[in-house]
Amino acid sequence: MDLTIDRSSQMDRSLRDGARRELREAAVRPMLQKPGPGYRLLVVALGAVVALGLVAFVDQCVKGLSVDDYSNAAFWDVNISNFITIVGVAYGGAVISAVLRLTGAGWRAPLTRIAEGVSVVAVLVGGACIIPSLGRPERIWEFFTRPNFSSPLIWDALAIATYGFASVVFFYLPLIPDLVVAKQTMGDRAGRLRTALWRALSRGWEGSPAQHRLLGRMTGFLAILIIPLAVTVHSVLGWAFAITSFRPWWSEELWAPLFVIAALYSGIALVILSLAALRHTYHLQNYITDRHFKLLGFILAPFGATYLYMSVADFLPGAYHGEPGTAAVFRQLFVGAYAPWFWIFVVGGIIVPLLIIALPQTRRVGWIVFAAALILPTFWLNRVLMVIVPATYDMMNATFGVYSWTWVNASITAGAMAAVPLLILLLFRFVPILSVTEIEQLEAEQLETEQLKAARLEAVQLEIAQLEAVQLDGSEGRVPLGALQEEVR
Amino acid sequence: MSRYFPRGPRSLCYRALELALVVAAPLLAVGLCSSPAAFASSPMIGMTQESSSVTGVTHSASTAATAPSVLTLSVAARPHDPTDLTLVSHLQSSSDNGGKSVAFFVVSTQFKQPEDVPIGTAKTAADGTASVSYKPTWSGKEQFVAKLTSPGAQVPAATAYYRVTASTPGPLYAAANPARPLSFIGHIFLGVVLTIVALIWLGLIIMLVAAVGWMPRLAGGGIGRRDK
Amino acid sequence: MDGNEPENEMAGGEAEKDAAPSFSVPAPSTPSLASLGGGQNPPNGEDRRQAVESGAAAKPRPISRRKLLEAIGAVGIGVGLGFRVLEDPSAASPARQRAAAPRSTKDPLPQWTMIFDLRYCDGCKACTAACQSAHYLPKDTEWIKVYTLTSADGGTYHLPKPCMMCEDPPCQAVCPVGATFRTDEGMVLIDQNVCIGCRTCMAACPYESRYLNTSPMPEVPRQPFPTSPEWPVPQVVDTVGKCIWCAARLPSGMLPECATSCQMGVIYIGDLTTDVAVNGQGNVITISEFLRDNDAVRLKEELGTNPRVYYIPGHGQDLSGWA
Repeated sequence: MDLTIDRSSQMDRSLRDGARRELREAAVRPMLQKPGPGYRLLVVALGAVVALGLVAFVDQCVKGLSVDDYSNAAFWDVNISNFITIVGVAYGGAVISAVLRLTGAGWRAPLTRIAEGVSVVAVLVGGACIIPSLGRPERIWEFFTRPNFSSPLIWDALAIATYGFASVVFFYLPLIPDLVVAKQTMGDRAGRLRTALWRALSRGWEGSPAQHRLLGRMTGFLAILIIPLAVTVHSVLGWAFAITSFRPWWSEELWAPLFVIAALYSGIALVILSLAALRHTYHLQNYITDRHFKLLGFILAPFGATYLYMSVADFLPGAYHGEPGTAAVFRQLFVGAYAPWFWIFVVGGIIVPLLIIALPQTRRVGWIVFAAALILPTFWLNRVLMVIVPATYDMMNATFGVYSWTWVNASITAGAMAAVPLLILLLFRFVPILSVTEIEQLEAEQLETEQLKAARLEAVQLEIAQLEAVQLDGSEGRVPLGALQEEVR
Repeated sequence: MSRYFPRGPRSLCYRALELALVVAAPLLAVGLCSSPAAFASSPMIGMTQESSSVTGVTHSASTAATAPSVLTLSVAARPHDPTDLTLVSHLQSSSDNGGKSVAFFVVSTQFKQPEDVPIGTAKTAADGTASVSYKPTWSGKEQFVAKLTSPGAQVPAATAYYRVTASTPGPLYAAANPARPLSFIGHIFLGVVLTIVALIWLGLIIMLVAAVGWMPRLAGGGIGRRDK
Repeated sequence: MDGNEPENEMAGGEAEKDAAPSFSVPAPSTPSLASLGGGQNPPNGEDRRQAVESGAAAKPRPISRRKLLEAIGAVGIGVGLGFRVLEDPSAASPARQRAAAPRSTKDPLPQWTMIFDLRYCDGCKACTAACQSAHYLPKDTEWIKVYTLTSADGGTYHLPKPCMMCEDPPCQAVCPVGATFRTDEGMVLIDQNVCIGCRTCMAACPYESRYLNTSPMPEVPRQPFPTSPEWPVPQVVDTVGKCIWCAARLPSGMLPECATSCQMGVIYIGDLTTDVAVNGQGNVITISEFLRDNDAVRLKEELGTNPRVYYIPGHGQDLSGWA
């Protein structure tokens, strides 16, 4: 018996070594491969859009908000919608990494690096998106020198800063062993910049049990911490509308949970989209499998359904009562000037993705990615409606102003949207795209479990054989054969 | 002064200083004069009556053709309540003194022009006296006016001065600045939230420091020395 | 040494033009100064002129000791008392000055209020025009805005609406940098050197009383007073501004621009502490009685902002809770 296990473990070990090599090579593939023409073109194009956004922002700084065709009837602009959207999609990382880690879902392992990376990038870009909406952005330091703590915007600043910091740390900690692995795998091909960076970031990591224990504990604690932080961030963002103002549709108690659910929903959508894009570009199909997309779709669906329910709960009481202000705003949304955009959002952003995941025929990678691609722009549209429609409502004479689009705010929006994929592409040229250590750890645990099960199986089979031998002898021993056979099965 | 002007009083710096001082002094004096802090704003500076009324200072010079009617006014505080004043006007005329209506005013200079603020009307009793009570809303030397408002009256108004020592603000003042007994809750809540945020930041910083600083010391006994 | 001189000269002054002043002067090193100081030379005009002429720098015009003493005396008085003005940094802010020196040390601070007697408003918008002209505002920034609304019986009425100077201002609560503040006299003001232009206060104000300044801003001639929250002229571009009840004028008893320009006497400005209000046409009222007798209301009372502006309806229109 021992000999058999030994031989199989030898075979297993060589198989495992081969698999491990493959895994590591896949993890550093974005860095090993020379960037192809498609990649370069994409980076240049995205960079150009980001540069255009920056130029537009500088133009606005020089000339003031008048370049946005600002009018007092539409006092809040699309930059706030961008801010909410991009900070919202940072939630995907929190869900995938933290929640799935706490629930012990091992299938998350190949996804965590990409999800956390997208999350960090989104928080940083999203936080920056609020700057173009200020009339005097050079005075932003006053948030720290003279904050007014009764203002939801200060709560916002605190929450996003804390969540951003926690995201960065949560991204960094599991990265430490992976950087050592990457250095090992790539050797000299890593180049001087990367080697120096990795050495600085992963100083002293040797993989000792004590180090693993410490890292595991810190990551576990952070996973627990980051969930309430994430919930707080978007609740506070919802309160920046609900508490700040008496305006119809904004001053609703439901907005904090509504924002959180929308963020979770759109965050998972962005993760799905990023996984699909990166999987295709770097041929990671072995690790990011179709099953992953189905499971992510199964996570997406309940959030979508919850958002649908919350939207109905949001609109129904106001529409039923028909208070003048609320009725006016809802009329604009449902049948008025903004109706096409609103219904595109409802159908394209909630109903269609739900159907795609619900129907088995469409529960496939391509369709799920298409659903994610629908969700992201429609939820941006939703945030634009949420910010602009009540802002253009005049609370004294019940009329609506008009929000005007100019090249400045369109460019800044495009630049912000392009910055997220650009930074993701660039990020994975510096860090491994798969969390190798985590994958190997989880595989080792799985293997251990399987080995234990195999050992138990062998012991039971031995007992059955012995009992059968006893039975053939005709002895009177009562044999719980059935139970043992059940156990074998 | 000589040690500052070794070359004598007609040196250039001396003349310059003299010019500057002579020019600056009147400017400072002018600036001083225009400061409202230097002068009291009340036009009634110089009125020295401390306690109760002065009677019978008439406003206008005109008098009736026959025996002149005289209206007088006196102001006094209630015995134990200096915030409550009683204004008593007395009408002396050749005709019937009773049943005439008298309007009482206090003169306010809060809005630049002296304005008569109505504080009540009363009808004269048979002996010609009419009175109203008034709780003054500001303190200081105040001018009170009584006017006969009966039709056909040609009686000049009566004025009295009174130094109000205790005033009560108007009826709407209390609601204008309500007490907020529960405001401490906001402070406590804020303190708790900020403490939690500070602890979170501290925890994150400690984790970073541990990852970079402490982790290397836990090396040894691992899978083998890795290539750094 | 210099510090001693003014005091002594104040006491002495012009009466002692020829006497020996008691300020200490070192032994005269030049005959010219000796003639002005010390008691060492005879106060003889002839001698003095000779001494001066024989001085080191022979200037054509002598300076007399009297003139010097006068100058030093005036400087001393001016400097000594002028510090009382110059050292007070709040000299530029009338509201703070008023708070520092109230009418009487016993009286509470004034609590400003405004009353609009809508029975007389004809919608001429003279108030809006006067305000825009006095503060050099752009055409579409109407700090006091006149609405034309339909009353229940189908007629129209006009509603001028300034800043409500709420006692619980939502704008103050939500400003992230505390640029909007409320004074002890009830005035809600904006420090435009702090404002970051985020427009959250504009979202919060249920009365739509706040406006963002965008370029181009009107040309503003040089102002006689420095810019302050009480006299926010010129307005800072890309920050938020609003009606401030001409806070710079109130402490000295002057009426806001809208009140003085209203020919119909609609706009009253008053003090809840003294219970006195006046309008631009010289009417004076007792606030509590006026409001009670005329069924005054406040706008959007149900929101709990506790505005300081009262409206006398007078046409039967329902001013509560519309829009």
